[in-house]
Amino acid sequence: MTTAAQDAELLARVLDGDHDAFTQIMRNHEDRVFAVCLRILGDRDKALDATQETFLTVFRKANQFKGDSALGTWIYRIGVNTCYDQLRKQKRRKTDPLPEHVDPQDLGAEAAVDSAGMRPEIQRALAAIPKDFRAAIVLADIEGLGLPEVAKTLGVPVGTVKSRVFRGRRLLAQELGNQTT
Amino acid sequence: MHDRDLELIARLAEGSLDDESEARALIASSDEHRLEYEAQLMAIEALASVGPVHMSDAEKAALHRDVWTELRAGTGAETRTPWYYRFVPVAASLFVVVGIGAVVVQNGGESSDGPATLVAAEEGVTTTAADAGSEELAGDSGEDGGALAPFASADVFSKLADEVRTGRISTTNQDGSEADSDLQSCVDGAGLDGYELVGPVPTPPEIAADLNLTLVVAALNGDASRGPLAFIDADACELVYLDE
Repeated sequence: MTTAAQDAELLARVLDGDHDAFTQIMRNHEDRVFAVCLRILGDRDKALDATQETFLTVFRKANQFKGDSALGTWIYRIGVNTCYDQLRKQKRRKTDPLPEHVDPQDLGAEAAVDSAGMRPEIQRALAAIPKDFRAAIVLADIEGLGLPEVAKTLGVPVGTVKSRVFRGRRLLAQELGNQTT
Repeated sequence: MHDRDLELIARLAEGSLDDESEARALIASSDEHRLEYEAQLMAIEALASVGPVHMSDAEKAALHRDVWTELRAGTGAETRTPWYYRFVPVAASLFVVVGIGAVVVQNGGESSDGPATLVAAEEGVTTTAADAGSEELAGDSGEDGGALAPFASADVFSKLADEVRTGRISTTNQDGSEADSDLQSCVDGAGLDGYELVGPVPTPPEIAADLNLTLVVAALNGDASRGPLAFIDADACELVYLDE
């Protein structure tokens, strides 16, 4: 885990054209970005794509980082937004006609079972709840971020984060309960 | 269930309360609260069982290779550029204006295209200058993976919430009819207990430019004049923003 000062120094070097510094930033944050994306998207390949897109955006927007949060928080915010965008694109594509052999109700379940580190029923339940609640639970309850940092990552007030986490847990429990009945 | 009660119960399930007596009394007071506690516990225990995930060394190597390949392909690193780079497009447009002006003068100012061309060139200057000035905002308007920057959208929704509370925005359909009552199930589906559908709201233009959303608003106990307001994507029945 890097300190804020180390991250700030690396970013300054990136802005001066030091590509090795950006590679180091990737090394420092890639696991967590990937983990967040994997939990939100429920699919390893999609999470890898989203991780790549995240760091491309980080590099392109490096000069826009204002320093009002930790660099990691800013990077994870970009990661969450990238995942949201992927989910929106997935949703739009779902309106396209499907091949006859594909059962539309299985699309999410197949992706969920493919993930690592999580029992399939938990991944399925997580995939079934709205993305805003899912992201809040992933950041707070799985990645262990404090609520203020989750709030900065999601760009919402702390009160909203609390609501999303607590209500998200309830939805998750309902989904888990539905799977056993 | 009130947010405060929900928070008490959730924190009891987390084990993060210094004094549990109030929360325990709340759980004992009704089945609803007890069931909420059990749901919180179930979710917390399930999530606690989730193990860490990591990229493999091969995946990390591929990530670095693919990121640098794309960046070197010229899709742009916004490193520090000299201050005058920002004015190059403006300067180029001014050359165009001057050049066209020179042509017009040469032709005695009688070209039927002259004024229109000059206006177009001026507009080009204006547009280009605006574009140059707006580069810093581009990232905030949705280029973070194509999604909206959260702070930008939070401000937009906060403003919309104020307008709903003060009645400056109508929450009926365009023909004046009340919102479809079936949308209440959408509110429930978004996990918003205690919230009642108020009605449709227009999608703010800042958001409509990037997202195709059909928005409805719900309020705690249906009172849109105060208290929290929930903006919901009526197509997906998902909470988009909660303004507290």
